[in-house]
Amino acid sequence: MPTKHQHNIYLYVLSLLPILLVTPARLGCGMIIILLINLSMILGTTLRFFMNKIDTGNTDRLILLLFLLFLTIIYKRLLVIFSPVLGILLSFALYFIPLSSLCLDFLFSKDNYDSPRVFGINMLYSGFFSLFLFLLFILREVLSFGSVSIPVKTGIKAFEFFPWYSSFWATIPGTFILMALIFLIVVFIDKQLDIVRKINIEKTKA
Amino acid sequence: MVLSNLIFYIFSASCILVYGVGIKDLLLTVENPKNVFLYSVKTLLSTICTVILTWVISTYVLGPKSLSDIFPFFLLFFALTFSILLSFLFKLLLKKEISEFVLTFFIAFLAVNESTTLLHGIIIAIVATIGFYALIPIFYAIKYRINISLVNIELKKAILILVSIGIILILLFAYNISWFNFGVI
Repeated sequence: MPTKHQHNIYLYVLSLLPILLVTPARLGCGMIIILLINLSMILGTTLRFFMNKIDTGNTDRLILLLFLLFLTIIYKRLLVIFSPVLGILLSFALYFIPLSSLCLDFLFSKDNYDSPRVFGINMLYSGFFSLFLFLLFILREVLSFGSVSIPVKTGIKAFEFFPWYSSFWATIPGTFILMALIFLIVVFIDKQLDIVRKINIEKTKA
Repeated sequence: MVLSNLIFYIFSASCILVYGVGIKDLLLTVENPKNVFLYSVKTLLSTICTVILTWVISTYVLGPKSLSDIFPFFLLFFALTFSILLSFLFKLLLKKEISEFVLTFFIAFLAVNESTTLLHGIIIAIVATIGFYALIPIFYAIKYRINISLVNIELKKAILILVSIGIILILLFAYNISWFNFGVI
């Protein structure tokens, strides 16, 4: 039986899937998505923190949703000014972020919003997701194109390390199978750590 | 036009499997499916109404002023209105609690984004919704098979369902790729 902790990780990773499937498998595109996730989290937390001090009744969820959509639209406009190619490539993927449970799960929760510690907690989670997405994008790009890329004005600039001919891991079925393999590795590591924890507990008892 | 869109949005670019629009809802509904037919009716009605209103506003009001970038606001407003209205109606008439919002929003977003005419948008909305609810029996069967299998790891449902989706997609795309060219495998 999966524990509650593992079930939560499963749900968060499932909510990351639409973003991964629609974005091209390049690190340059991934950096732009990671920046938007962090911006949404920090500005949304700020808004919710200040709204908690005023009595808004039941409308605070609606105001948060509208604010996150507004932020995404402005971000997309700025992206189009910086680089039109990237704006067209990522225009569909950016709209998945304000409504996925990555940010909304933390912004809609009822506790924690009385003290400024909530900023630390939320940014810790969003930092964890950002790191996970970053490593995933690097893995997909190196395994399928053999390069690492950054976003520039004309689109994506790729630095090739070695010539590579197989692009299966950047495709859509490849993403699903890569996620399944990552789950397998995480479960294996969790089991080994469990054995270590049990040995530690027995040592402290004896 | 209907047939070509039907085949495209169910098999080649299935809204759920390729865009990943409702994957989390799908895998959670499959655990405990209840009132699936009523949910499908509600989603169908609310997406069609949302798509019609948003498309008309986006083309005839926002388009001439080159402001069509801000249509998600109107989409959110209409999707919320119709979702709440229809769930209220269902509760009044049939005494059942049926409410969902995220799937309505994303399917309507996809339909308004990718359509050329109003009829095209409505067809995309209908086909994507039917595609979602038609996948529930398939994934229920896969989940049942995984439960009775002899694999013995934690989170085996998660891992094996993701691998099954990947294999289904490979089967759907297999006829359209030149397999013996470098760059694919």
